[in-house]
Amino acid sequence: MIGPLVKARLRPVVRALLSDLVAEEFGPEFLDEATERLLRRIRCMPPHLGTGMAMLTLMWDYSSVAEVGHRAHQLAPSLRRERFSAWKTGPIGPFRDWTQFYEKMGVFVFFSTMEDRGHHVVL
Amino acid sequence: MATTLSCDVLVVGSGPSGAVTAALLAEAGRDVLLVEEGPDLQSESAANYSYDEMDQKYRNGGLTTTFGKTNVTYIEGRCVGGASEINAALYHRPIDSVVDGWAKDFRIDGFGADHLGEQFAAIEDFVQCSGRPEFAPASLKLKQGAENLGWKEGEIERFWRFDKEDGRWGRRQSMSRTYIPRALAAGCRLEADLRVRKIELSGSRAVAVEARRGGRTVRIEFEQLILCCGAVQTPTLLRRSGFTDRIGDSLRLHPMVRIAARFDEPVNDPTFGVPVRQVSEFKPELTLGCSHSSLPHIALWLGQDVEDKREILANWNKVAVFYAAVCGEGTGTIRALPLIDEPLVRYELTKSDMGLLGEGLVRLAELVMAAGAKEIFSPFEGQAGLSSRSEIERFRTIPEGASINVTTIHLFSSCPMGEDDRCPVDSWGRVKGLDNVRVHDASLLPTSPGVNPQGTIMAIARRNAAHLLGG
Repeated sequence: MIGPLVKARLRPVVRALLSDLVAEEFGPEFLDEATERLLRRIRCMPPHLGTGMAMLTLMWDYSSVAEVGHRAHQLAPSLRRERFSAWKTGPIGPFRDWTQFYEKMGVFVFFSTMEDRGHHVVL
Repeated sequence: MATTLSCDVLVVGSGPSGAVTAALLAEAGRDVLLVEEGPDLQSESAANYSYDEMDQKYRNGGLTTTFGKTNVTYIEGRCVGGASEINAALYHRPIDSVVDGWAKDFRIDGFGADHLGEQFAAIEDFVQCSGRPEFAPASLKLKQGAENLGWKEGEIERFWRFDKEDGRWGRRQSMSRTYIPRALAAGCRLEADLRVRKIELSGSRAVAVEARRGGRTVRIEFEQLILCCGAVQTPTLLRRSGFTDRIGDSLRLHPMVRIAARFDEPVNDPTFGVPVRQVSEFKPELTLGCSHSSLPHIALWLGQDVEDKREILANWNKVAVFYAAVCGEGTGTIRALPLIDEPLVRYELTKSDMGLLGEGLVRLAELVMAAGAKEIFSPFEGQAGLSSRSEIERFRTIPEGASINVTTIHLFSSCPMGEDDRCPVDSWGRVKGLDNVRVHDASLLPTSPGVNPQGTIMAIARRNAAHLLGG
């Protein structure tokens, strides 16, 4: 259901979300591979879930254009985090579910990538 | 032009029920074709519970969820061997009173704990379920906590072998290693990567199925059709084929919640695989146990709001994940959707289910604290964890505006068997109104067996296969 064009649009957004949620702190060197793996997860989802996930991701990305003139993935990480947090704590259930997906599956995929490459978290 | 295959008995789905059914029928001399939607892979093709395993062997990469007020994420196997290739392989016989209750309440002929006894014995004899020679540290923590609280607990046998040459991890006795080779040795044919999409009916008989492999259509003709696709896909296939009477109307499952707990000493050793002890004090309503606790799983269950995450993850071997599984009383429905293969699964947890899940979290917290845990991370997003027993009651209720992750791997009861009016399938798995279509999988279980259901599913499949053969 999610074709190459949509995937290309999703890639920088997924990458920015993963960077903010986990990669920046735990290993920027795994960000590209984890992004591709997470995109693959979204493509594997049943169409009625995967399409919704892709649409919400793009909606979140474009939601900042009217306000600040840029898509969310182009903003500074601190501003992006604020916008993510607004969806996470907002009143709209699907938006909250969307943030949960990235917080859970994004983190799982990232640390799986790190583990598969033989790396561990160090202090 | 479609390729056409034919057989005497077509078994759709190669998980525990399909594998057992195919083996028994093939050994009785029937011409059996076993069809599996997923790939035919070696058991070791990916590490258990890894990203690669999800990619290779889980339906939709493990990302399927029910719709309802609280979504429940569920997992289905999609490979030769089905769920037996990916689950914890815990083996139980069901509680006798539960089985006898099914026979009475759903009016199941020739059924009861006594009737299933010989089926369980045959399965145990062949598969050789066994206990571990040594226990994972997290299992020992669970044991210690239960002993300190005076709760009943014990080791659960698994579909697993621990021969010397298999090392500490042991060897999964999945269907691809047990019943499927046995079926093939008896002449059964196996077709992997072939998804059955629709059943062709002629009056009250099914005459063929339409299946797809890649972009190609395959038509399979048969005398007898046996559906073993699991509690979600079997009703989906029947409904998509136009057979909807009570099919997929009564899905049940075992909802499960988890917490991660930190100890002062290492409790996590990945070389052991899944910790296998369970607390049985509150069974059948509530079961407590240990989950697989690799670094990615710990990161997943820690949540986002932990302040000293780096320190915790750098010492991840001191953290373990524990679960509480409940016998839900909620029910759900399964509906085929137009144009897409995946069904819409709706499920509502009842107030009582939510209460039991809260009770499960409180009991889990008591257990790990009694085992010496120094910190328990909150299962609720946005809520702090706890580090003293006096705070445990906080886990009983989901805070306003917070959410909790509920998962399951046990789904059943979508086509319950029996002569009762609620049952779309008769006492032997035959779909009422269809002469030659049977269901042999988890769909048949009338309600929760109160334990990990794989053993029960295999025993019922074996019983029904014997009935088909006239035994």
